[in-house]
Amino acid sequence: MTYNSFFSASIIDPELHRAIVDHPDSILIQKMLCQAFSLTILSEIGHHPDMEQKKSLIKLATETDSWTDLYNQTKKLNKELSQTLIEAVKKLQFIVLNQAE
Amino acid sequence: MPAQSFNHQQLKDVLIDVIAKQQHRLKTDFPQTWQYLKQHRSELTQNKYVQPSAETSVLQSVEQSLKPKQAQVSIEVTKEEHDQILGKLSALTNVPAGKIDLPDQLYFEQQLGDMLGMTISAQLDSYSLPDTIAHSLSLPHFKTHPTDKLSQHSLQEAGLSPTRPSFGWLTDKSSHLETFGIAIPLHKLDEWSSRRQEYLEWFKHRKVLVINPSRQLAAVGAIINSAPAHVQRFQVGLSPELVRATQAWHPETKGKLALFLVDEAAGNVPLGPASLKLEIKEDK
Repeated sequence: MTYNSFFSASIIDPELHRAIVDHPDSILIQKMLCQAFSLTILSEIGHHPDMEQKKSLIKLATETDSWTDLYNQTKKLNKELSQTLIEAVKKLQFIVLNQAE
Repeated sequence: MPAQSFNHQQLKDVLIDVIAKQQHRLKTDFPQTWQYLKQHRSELTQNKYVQPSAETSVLQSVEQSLKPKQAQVSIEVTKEEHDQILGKLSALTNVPAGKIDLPDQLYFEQQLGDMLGMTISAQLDSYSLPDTIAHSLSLPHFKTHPTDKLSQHSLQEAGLSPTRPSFGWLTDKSSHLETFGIAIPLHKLDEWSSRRQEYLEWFKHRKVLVINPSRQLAAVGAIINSAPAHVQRFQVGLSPELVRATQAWHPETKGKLALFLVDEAAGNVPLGPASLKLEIKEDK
């Protein structure tokens, strides 16, 4: 999933976005943040009890470039899980913001 | 709050730390997802952002010159970790031939892969070798073409096989594979009878990392034959050069080796010995 897909879905904290844009190695930081997001999302999906849904979501999460695609698909299968994913991504940003300040 | 309040290097360091923690969490809590990720999105399993910025490099070199004792400790810790990995590796000598437990497998894939600078895995594209721990059989040289002669090979005391390898004669382009050739008993794989052709196509000339756990030696070889036929005693066959490179028949080893598939998705991995030794650059 790309940074732009997270940003266009308004899921990136504006403060963190500014810090990333101002960073001299902005592209690398974007990639790193997306990697951290993807790993967090995969961990959250890993906790999902339905094996079939879990498999298809892991496959989608590793294949798609679009966060919105993954979110919509997750919402279709399990609304609660889609909310958990958003919360996990936001929580991760909170940790990054607090530690990097 | 203005963005200027962020320390650029700190932001990067925090992300490195977060990625490492998430990777560890995924690896330990969901090993199957981690395995899937390694096969399909291996870049997510890497954390190679540790190169310090120019600013940090200068800072670190100043710190190092000011605190030589502290610098020494950091090298010792690294060496300690290295020794720990090799210690755990040596324990594999006592494990019976077959597959190793998943946590151990993931541990060695990660640690040895990092140590050797290549991606190794017990399972690749959903294919795996019949055994991860195997007793090795020292083979004579593989015959590369019908008129191949022993005089055309080094280590002539090993002899020359009279038969054609399972994957056929080697061409000019593939004849170099003979030197570090490996024979794997592919008939031991699950569903061999129904998936024979598929297995042969996938395993043909596939690179395998051979590790001697007790001597801590490693070498990369290529599968060019399906053998040995009887797997009760030996589960892998090695060319004479591979036996030498890995010291497979050292008294401490007695032929017991660890095998991992080499993932070449990120680039070509050369055949031959690979170093497991810790390289510490000493300042003069």
